[in-house]
Amino acid sequence: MIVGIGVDVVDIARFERAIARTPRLVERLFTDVERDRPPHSLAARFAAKEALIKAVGDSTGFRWQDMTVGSDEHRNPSLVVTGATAEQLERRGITDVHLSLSHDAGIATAFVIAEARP
Amino acid sequence: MTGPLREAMVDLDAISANAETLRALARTAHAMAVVKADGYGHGAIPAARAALDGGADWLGVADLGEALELRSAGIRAPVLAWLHDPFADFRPAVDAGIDIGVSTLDQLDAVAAAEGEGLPVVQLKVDSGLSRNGLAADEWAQAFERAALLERAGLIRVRGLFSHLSNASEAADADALAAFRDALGTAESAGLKLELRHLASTAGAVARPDTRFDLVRLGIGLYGLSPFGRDGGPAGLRPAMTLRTRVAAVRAVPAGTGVSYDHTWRAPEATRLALVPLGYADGVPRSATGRAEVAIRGIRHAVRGRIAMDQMVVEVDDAVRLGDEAVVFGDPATGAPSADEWADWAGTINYEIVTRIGPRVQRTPE
Repeated sequence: MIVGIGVDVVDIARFERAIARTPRLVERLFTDVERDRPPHSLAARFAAKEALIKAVGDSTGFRWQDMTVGSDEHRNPSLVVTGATAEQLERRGITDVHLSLSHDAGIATAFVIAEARP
Repeated sequence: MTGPLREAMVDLDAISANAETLRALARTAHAMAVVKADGYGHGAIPAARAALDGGADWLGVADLGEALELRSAGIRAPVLAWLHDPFADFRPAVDAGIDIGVSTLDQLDAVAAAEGEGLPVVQLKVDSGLSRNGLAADEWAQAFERAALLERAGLIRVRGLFSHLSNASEAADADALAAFRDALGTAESAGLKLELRHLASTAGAVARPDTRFDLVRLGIGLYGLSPFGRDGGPAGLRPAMTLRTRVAAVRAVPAGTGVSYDHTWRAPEATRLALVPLGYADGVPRSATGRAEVAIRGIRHAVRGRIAMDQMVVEVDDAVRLGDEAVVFGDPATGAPSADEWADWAGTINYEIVTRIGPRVQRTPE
């Protein structure tokens, strides 16, 4: 059963300027394995994390470092959630998180579905 | 009269009472006492304490140095500073828990890099029509998005959004209010949750209820002067400052005697002249020459000839004696000239009359 959906858009140029001006943003928002990716990819990953928060409907207990955007064996994006954030999902009965990303016209978009399997 | 030769007496009870009066009038959740420029010349620290006693719960200053002086004096109330050195180091202000008014993206980034003992707290300043400091309308979306991102990342906290009215006209203020509402809408779209929205200073607090929002900034009214000058203002305000000295010399002169530089005035008939030892070095505007008056023994007398650096000459009656108190301006209820009258005589505004008092004049809070 779908228990939540979330979508978020990030202006790539603005995001790139922001992380160039405040490099600590990258440390704060991304996990070790994400940090070396190019700015447009980081923008999409940030959108993905924001979309997950929107899908859940509440950011209480969420930590940026507990969310990693990776890719599955088909090179489709996936959201790996760990730690305190994983506990928040579990508490809400969310068993699966589905993610789709897109970039166009200077915008990175992420769409997340939160699913609860019985 | 005894005490310092040159004295600006500051009635702190008047400042407390003015804060109370204005706060009751505005009925906002919060009221900020603006104590920049050494409390408009009244002494920032005693003025701040008096205003807090009168019910103000925020303090506002222009720059970080002024804010840190309040903290050094042990004042713990919330403080906002909004006009910064382009090379400012925000770290000491962040450590001192001072809210930083941010007018540019560069300032926003610099504040985000200044994380110290606590989280930097910012209030975004937008330009709503004065063309001074404040983010321009075409920067709002980007700046608010950046601020929201920095806040999401835990690098800053965004407490508020503010602007300032031009008071140019009713229409200009209505435009500024519309621009401010636009800025609030843009901020909300960027995901900012604003706890303090403020636009009104004394003028708005008194005359435009729709500009009050969560907080009013009380500046000139706190000191008992009206933002509208002699065109009237809120009832019940008491001017806090009295500038006084004592007569340093008295002489009788025959008809035709020239007075002060350039002899711009000559006695039309025999008269008496008193030397009043305050001049433009003390903030008495030289441009008031030819119009100004001073109260001696409670009676007004005309200033004759040019106002000089250290002194002015006043034509007096037979009763005036050496050492008599001479009040340059104060509460007009006492018969003294008001700061508003001096402003008219000098072609300026009451704000400048009180703020420009020079360093030789001793401030005596009472």
